[in-house]
Amino acid sequence: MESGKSNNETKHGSKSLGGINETLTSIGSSSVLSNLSIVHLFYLAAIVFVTMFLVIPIFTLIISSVSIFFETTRPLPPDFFGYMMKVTWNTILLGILTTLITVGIAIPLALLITKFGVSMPSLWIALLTVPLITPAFISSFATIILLGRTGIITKALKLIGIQFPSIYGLLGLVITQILHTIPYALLIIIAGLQTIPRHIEEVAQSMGSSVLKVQYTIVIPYIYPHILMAGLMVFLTSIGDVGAPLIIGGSYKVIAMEIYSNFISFLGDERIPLIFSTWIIIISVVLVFGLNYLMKLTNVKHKFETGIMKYDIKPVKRWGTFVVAFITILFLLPYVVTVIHSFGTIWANTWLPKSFTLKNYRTVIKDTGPIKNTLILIFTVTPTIVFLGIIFGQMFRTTRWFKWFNYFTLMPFVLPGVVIGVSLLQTYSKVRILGKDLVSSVVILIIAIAVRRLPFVLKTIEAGFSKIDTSQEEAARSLGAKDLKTFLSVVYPQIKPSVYSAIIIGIVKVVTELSSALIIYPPGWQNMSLYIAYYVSEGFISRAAAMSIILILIVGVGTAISNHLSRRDLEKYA
Amino acid sequence: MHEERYDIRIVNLVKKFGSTTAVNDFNIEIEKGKLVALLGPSGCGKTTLLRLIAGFEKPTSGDIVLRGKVINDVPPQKRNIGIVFQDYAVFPIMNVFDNVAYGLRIKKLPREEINSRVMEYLALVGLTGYEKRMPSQLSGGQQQRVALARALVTNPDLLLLDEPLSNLDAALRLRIRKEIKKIQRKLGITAIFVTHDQEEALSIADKIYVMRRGILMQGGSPREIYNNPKNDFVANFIGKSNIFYGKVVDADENYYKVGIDGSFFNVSRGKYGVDRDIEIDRDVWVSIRPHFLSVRRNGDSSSVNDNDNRINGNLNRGVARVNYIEYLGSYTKGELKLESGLVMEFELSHSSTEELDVKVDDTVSYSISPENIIVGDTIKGTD
Ligand SMILES: Nc1ncnc2c1ncn2[C@@H]1O[C@H](COP(=O)(O)OP(=O)(O)OP(=O)(O)O)[C@@H](O)[C@H]1O
Ligand SMILES: [Mg+2]
Repeated sequence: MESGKSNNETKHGSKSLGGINETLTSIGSSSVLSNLSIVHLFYLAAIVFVTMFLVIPIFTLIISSVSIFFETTRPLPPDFFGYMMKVTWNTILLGILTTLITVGIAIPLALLITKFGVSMPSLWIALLTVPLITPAFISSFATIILLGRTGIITKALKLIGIQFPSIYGLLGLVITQILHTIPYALLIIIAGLQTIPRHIEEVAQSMGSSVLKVQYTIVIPYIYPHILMAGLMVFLTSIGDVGAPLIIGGSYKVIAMEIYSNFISFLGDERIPLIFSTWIIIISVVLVFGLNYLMKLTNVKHKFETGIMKYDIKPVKRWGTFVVAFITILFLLPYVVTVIHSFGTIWANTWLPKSFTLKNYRTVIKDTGPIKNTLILIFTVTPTIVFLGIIFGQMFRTTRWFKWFNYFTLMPFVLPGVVIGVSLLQTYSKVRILGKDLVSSVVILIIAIAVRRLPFVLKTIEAGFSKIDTSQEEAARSLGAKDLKTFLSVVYPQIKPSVYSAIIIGIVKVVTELSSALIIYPPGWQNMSLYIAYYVSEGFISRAAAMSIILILIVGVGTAISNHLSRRDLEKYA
Repeated sequence: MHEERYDIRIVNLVKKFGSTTAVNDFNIEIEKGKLVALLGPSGCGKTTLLRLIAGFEKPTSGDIVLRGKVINDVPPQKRNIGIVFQDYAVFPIMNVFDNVAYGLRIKKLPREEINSRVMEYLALVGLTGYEKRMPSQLSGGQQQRVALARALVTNPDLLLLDEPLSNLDAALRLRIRKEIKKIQRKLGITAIFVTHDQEEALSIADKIYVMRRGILMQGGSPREIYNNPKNDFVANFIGKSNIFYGKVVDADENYYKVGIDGSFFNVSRGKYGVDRDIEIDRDVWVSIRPHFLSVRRNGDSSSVNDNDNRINGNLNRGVARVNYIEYLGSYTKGELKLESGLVMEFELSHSSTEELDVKVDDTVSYSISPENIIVGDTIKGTD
């Protein structure tokens, strides 16, 4: 749009200069076609993609679920609303418990790490964010290994006379969701703590407020928006997850799980996924907007150059390090037992597996399908979403009146994967391409994961874009460079580091994707996540563990390669 | 034991950050109820000194004595010191009332008393009626008043202000500066005001301490510092000045004759600069304030004499070329190039004489009274 303007100006300018030749060439170059430069075609393609595979499916889903209520030929069962309320309450209870506990742990942890000078802060942060690169359900089955009926902690507690209650149900769900969501909460709150100017705390202290009192009268209220944001992330992640309920939910029914089980089961009522999907969309959207309103009320932007307050209190430092280390170990325990289990034979009622073996890995690798499928998904989805991310990033930055579209691209942040899966299948169930059902080809899986993971990649790339001034492009354009050329020569080199980060995040998010895949995997396209879930549900815990470790390794290798490339790139420019 | 005359004494204070010495062997004493300005260029250690006094930094060595008590190891919470920062540091999450009430609530005063004191201090800073506002709804100046009320309401022994006006626009700066001074007088509170703006320091302070690279250069009343700088750094930093370096080439009982790159100036001795004699051949710094130059169009020399005929014989005079000139309404300022090549700034106030009507490259005559030139032999450099 901006280029259109500048083209017009050029045309105008050359006319006033006179000269028939110039006038002719300027008319030629500003014809409608070249005015709509190739960049705009990219924008169009990206918008069409998201509209077709996210916006339209979601609206179709909402409309068809509403129409269910107006259908008289097949009324809903009379006890439906009672059941719906029960499941809703279960879901919200799970969300609230997880959120309160996770945020409650994350706040003191973040305070100790950022402000009270515990030793090796970056180590703890790195370790505590391991769950970010692993699928949620790994914490679920690790919880079973630790706390299940034959789990080692259960056994240890029994020795000292404590009977640990059954973890199948709310308890297990809360535990695994806490394990999985702690990094989100921790990182957001740490980011919040970085925004508090030192002076604010110093003033409070000089008025007689003790260090502890400063924390709860000033610091915590100050990061209230971040705490809300962290809470929102944790809440939405925990209520939208389907992997954990599948593995450890027992008979505790939650919305996401009901959507899934009714969708895949022949016995299920096909109307329930539609109604529940719409219902959870409503809950999420209301929550997001409500929180947005609360955050606006308290939004404080404070420019400062003084850095943040760091306390140097010896005993707090020492005990703080101890506490942080203890919590970190607790949170890493699931991963440790996963590693042990992957090398073990039978592990029940003993402290360690009976014997150690590589058999699990051999068995798991023998079936090359899941690994191959996962790799194919990585190599198709990741480039797609990184490419889309760059297009959208550039579009939102340069064309102001398209910013609202960002609400759509970011939607998957708050929508559970099962909902996206259901909406796509429901909308495109009758579409055929090249004589094949779209929904039974791998294309639909690629599309689903791409749509769902796009916001993560887009956010990363937007962070890179935000550092570039549009005036640079204007300068390049005024020197006569075309849009695409301007972008490739001026803009792209600067966002390259973010593109590499986006690739890493893309890989991680594609590999760990489970919920939408659960809904729509076409025949023969089970990826590793699905296999892990399948192994766990069939009781092959050690195979699940081995597969999980391979999955983490793939993520690790992908990350390392991308890191290496970005470093080489940096050296080239340095 | 007699009652301590000084509210705060700083004794041989040193603060090192690794290899940088931010505060170097600092000694000052501040009398009760005085407002002193701590003045110096950026990075000279003003903030560090303030943070040492407030207790946010531990001294490397030396003592801080508040009301007769060494407070080196007293935590900031127990020092009873009020602080106002450049960036206001109001609590953005509390309304104006709660901001000011914060310290009183910490002290667990009864509700009634908190209410009345908060209202009293809000009235003092002119913010009555703003109690319910959030800081984001206040202008910078209003936020700074909240910060001031908040710092004062707890009745501190000492008020520290770290460049409190720097973030405000010029007009507001003048107004709040006046208000701060008035309030400080009214409450009789001892205050340290940090600034790098010499005009601000001159206008507000009972006493100014000029600091440079962590070292105290000179302390005294604004008048003393301005009229009687102890070294070239102070002479240059306080007020505008032409600073030159030269030698004393001759002296009698009334005057020094100072040579600067081939120009010679008579300077009254004993009046300014140094209190002891400077020997002949000593290297000296010379300060000539721009407004002490009398400039006339060439040929009008008769009027020059009228003003200064008391010391006629020793008047420094000559002709010079106008290098540069600026008309600024109430005064004209510019640059002269003397015959010897020395370049000097001048400033002519229009109220005292008729407007100077010269252009660049015109030749003018100038004169400087020997009483208006300051020399000294403590050379520190001007940066
Ligand atoms: N925490 C610190 N660690 C290391 N060096 C410091 C620290 N605080 C201050 N310094 C150094 O001490 C010197 C004095 O700094 P200070 O902030 O006191 O200067 P200032 O006079 O307040 O300057 P300004 O007018 O710019 O505010 C500077 O060289 C600064 O870099
Ligand atoms: Mg400072």
